[in-house]
Amino acid sequence: MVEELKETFRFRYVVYNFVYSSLKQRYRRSVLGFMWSVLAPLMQNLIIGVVFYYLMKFNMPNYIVYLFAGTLIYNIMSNVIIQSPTIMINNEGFIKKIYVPKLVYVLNLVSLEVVNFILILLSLLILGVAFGKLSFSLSYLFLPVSILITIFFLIGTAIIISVLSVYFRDMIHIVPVVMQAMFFLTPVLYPISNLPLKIQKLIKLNPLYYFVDIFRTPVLDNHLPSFLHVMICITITVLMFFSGILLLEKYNNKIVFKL
Amino acid sequence: MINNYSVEFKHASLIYDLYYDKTNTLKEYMVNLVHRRKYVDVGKDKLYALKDINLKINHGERLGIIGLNGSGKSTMLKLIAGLLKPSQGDLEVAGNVQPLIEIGAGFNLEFSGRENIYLNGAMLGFNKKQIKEKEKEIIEFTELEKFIDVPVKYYSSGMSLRLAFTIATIIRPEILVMDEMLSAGDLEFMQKAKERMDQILTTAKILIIVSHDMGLIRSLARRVIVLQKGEILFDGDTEDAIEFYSNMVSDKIEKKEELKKQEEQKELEQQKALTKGGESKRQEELHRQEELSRRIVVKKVWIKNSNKDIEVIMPEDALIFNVEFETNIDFAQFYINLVITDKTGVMVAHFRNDYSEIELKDFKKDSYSIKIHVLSVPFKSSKYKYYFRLVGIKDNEEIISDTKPIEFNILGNKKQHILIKHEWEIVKNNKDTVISK
Repeated sequence: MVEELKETFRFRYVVYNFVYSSLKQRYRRSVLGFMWSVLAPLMQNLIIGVVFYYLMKFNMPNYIVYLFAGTLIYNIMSNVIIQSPTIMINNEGFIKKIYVPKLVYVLNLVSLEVVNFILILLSLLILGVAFGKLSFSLSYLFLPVSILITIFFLIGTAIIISVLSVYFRDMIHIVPVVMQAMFFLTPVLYPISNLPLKIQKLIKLNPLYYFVDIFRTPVLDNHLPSFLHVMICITITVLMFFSGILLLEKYNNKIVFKL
Repeated sequence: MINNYSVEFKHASLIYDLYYDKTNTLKEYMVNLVHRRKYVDVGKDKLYALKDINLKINHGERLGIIGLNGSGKSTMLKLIAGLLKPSQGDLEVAGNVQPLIEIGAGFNLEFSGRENIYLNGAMLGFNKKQIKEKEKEIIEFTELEKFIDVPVKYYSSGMSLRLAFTIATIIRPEILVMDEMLSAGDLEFMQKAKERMDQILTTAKILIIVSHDMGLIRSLARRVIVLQKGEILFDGDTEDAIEFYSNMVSDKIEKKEELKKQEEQKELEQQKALTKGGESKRQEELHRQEELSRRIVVKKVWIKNSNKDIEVIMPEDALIFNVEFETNIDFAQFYINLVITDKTGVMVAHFRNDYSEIELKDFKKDSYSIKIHVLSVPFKSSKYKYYFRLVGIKDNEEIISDTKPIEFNILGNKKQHILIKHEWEIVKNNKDTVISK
């Protein structure tokens, strides 16, 4: 395991160059460039959010912050997970012809989404302060911790999904459908307290809920997330990350035959 | 730094598990689970891509690998390059390996040329600083200065080939693994590319090359192994290995031809049985061909060895290639070809009347006998074949008649591919002593 991580570190420039060129290319040909990647998902969520707000008629003082913080962290998770099934498959040409640790391809995807996420986060923070919606407090210092936990969770999850997808191609179709369901099962558009207790219990089985919560609480409520939720996230992360690495190690040499 | 690089296969096998392809969907997997069948048991077909390979490649060696398609040559390269791991046995590689396998696989079409240089460079294991150092050299070498910041998807195939070749060849590995020769772009670039390749080839401590081009193998490898169905059939000197391989190939070709003949015979009989009354289209066609071939009728083909018998021909022997034939119509123009091939059918010599400035215009209906005096046959010891190709032109139509290839043996010259008369003179300069003459 250590060997694999060491090798991956040796090839870190692949990830660096991939992320740099992808971002550049993503914003190269549009006038608003980077702004679009902030605006597009936000406007989309704003529309759904406002519709939800009026349909459900729930009472929330700071709904706009709740909505943006939730969708921001949810979107990075869903973006990574939805793209995970094709990681190995899309890189078939490389895997068959040149030796690069396979973890690098996973990190390419996760890093690109994380960098994108951080750029959006920073611009949202600025916007939030400018419009007087946010007030900084010490709890914000917890954000890097939440983000770091989420990143490792995503790396593990992406590895597992990408390896499984090589063996079971159905995953490519199943994962987006599951993520669609998860979007409504994660309290992003609505507060969890608004739901009947029975459904609340169901939602608490959804791991993504906890990752959203440890990110959103410091921003929204200006206090630290509950210790229990942080521990749940760490447990899931450790579990996913290490089983991901072990899975990859086990199937490392076999994937190439299945591509 | 180690300065004793080596590659060693120890009873290494690579098995492709064919059953992998059987369970491809979750549904099948679930069904198998429910039936308590372990899915790996669905048809246990195993394919040995490489079988119990024992091979040591030492420091400084230039090894060629030859074999028919599917014999495991590329698999062997991929193992050495670390792209695959042996399923059984061991493989020890001392030194850094870089494969030069199929260039141009690794472009991201949306990225610009420059970005691809960085991305591919990193994938070859270079860090940012090292790539930056090479960047200028690469761009200059490819002559793509104007287009380097344009996405690769807008490149012409020649342009991307040039870029791919140059990136692939920035590596300076100790152990170089190469699949076929890299071809790149127009003639001018090819010249440049060849020089660059030569540089890499000479700096590599160990070279392992797979190719179907025997000329290339001859020029690069001093030791050659012949692979067949994943096993090493021959391991030794280049010329001996190529001889062994071409014997193997010609045997195979003969067998195939025999089979084909048998099949054709069968088909013809079936046709006859089916169409007893009228003639089928195929038979009509055959008829027409027969009609055509009657216009040039070969009577006799033989070789005469000026001094000795025909069984053993030495390279220095003078031979007379004879053909007697009849033409049944008048031709406006006529060509007589003599072709000598090696046993795999690759041409080694070709004679034609107009090459020797003999024009055969207004070639009248008659009977002819042709003698071609060959002063020497300076080829390597082996089996060869020769045949005549008679071509008559009438009303802009070519009528071709080939004689059956006839085998003959050349003996005596074991080492040299083509033996040109020569002498050696090696002198020690400071003492003015002759070592050999």
